[in-house]
Amino acid sequence: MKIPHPCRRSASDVGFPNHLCQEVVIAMFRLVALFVFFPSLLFAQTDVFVRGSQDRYPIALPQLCLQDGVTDGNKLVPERISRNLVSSRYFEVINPNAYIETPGKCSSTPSAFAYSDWSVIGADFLVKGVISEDDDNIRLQLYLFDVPKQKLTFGKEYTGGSGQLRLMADKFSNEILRIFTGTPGVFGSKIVFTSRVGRFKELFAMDVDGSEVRQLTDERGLTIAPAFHPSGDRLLYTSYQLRVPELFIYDFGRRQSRAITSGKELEIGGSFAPDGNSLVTAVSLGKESNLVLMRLDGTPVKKLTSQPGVIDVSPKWSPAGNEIVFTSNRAGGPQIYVMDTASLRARRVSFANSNYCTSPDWSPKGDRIVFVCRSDGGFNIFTARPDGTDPLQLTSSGNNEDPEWSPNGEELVFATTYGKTGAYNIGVMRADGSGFRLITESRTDDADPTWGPVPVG
Amino acid sequence: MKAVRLTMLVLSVLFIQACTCKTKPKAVDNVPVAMAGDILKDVYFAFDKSDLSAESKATLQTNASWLKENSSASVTIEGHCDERGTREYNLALGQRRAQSAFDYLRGLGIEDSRMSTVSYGEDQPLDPRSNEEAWAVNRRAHFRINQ
Repeated sequence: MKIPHPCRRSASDVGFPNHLCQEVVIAMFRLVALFVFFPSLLFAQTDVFVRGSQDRYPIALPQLCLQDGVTDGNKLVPERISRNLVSSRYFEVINPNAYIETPGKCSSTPSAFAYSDWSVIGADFLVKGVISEDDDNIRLQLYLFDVPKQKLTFGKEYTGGSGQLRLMADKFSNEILRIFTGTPGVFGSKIVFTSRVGRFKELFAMDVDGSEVRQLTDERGLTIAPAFHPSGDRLLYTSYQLRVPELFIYDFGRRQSRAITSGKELEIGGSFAPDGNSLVTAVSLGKESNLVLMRLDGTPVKKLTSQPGVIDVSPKWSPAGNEIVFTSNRAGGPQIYVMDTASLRARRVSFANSNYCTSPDWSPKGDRIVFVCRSDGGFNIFTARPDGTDPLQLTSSGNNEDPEWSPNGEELVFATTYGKTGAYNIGVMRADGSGFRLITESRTDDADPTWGPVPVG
Repeated sequence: MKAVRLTMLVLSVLFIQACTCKTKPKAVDNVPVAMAGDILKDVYFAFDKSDLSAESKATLQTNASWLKENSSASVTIEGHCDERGTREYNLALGQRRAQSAFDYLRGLGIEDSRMSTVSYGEDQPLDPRSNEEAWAVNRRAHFRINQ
């Protein structure tokens, strides 16, 4: 049976115009063939990641009134706050094209404007402000208004150099989050992670929404397991520069690294104490890996575990600084344990019906720990109380690893294979598993994230 | 026109067909690849394990014979894991695997001074794919002869 060709071959033919038609038909054939040979493409990922629906607050962020001097902060500040609020997944920013009020309109007092201009376009909340510049010094006043209630919720004034505009916008965004969630936001903090560069692994830093990615190290080797110092000014990481894994410190100010351990033993990862004055790492020699407390210059102070032939690894401190959560295979397969740093007594705290649980972290709020267990055919993220009770599974698709808490304990950052590229990418979600969002989308296995503190000042 | 369309059809089919062919595992560039021509063979481990199977012991005996015949050669024993599980735990596990091979070779009479160990954890897989086949060859101790 001859199937009629849909493309016209001559002017008198019936069908689609010929010149593009051939390409369209071939493209469509390829598309159909693709689905025939790869049927899984027809089915979108149906595993639900985001738990619970979350209505987003509609908010408007018009240009600021530029009162004096010259600065593009009148546009940059509301743009930066908009980006921050959208990335929090609590807000939906109304398109500025819909705004009725003249952009950048200045008024006699901050509250002298028509609420109806904003309620009519569907805004529940509104940020307005005034900015002035004098000799590169900025004075910025920002106000959050509740549109239906027609009242000012709060206002803040910031002063500083023009280089601090972004910091001011981040601070105001964090205040907005505090009003809406009870906890200040963490805009301005950085996430550091590892990524493949050729056949090597290097450290990268980015903003919490995945923007401003920059490479930190160029060691042309394996550079892994980064951990932020509580001050945010340096990182602990592990590198093979000296042939076996050793500990290095990267200084953000100087953009330089230096080794703090050397020798035959392998030092693997670790973390700084909450007061920033010491660190704990896992030292591996032969068939054992033990937790060792060290000074910041790498001088060993005390061995915290010493069971022969056991792997004790991945230590993280409690925010109170008197306990350490870690991974140990002392009972056969790896599980999560909490140790009291004074008595060195440890008890198991992973009870997630899995024979393989690793990679713990302690929430800065103190009330939960996060860890990874092998389950449902992959690796998934669980939280529990620090005594192991109330275990909750937060993910169920793909491989999800390396979780760490955000500095305010509200969110988790982790590496996941869930997504289009199939490689590991960095994702964030709220502490209850809702609001999942990928913040990198590469094919270079972005993994091993660590979340730094919110900058002060 | 008909010939062109037919060629397009065939090309499209071939294009898609190429994607469904099983591709040979490619080595990550410059990472040591255990091939038929390698002098010292890799030994493999079960998931989360560092103990040697009977087959592994046989391989190590063969490796030991070569090392005895070439008494000036020294070797670095690399421990590796598959990509699953935590990086830090895998580094420690890789070290255990390297140590298992080290201890066994030492037991067969190879001097300590001729061997060193290192672990790469999950970070230098032999086979970069994410399936059981790849994971099984990545859980290995590899023997790198030093020059």
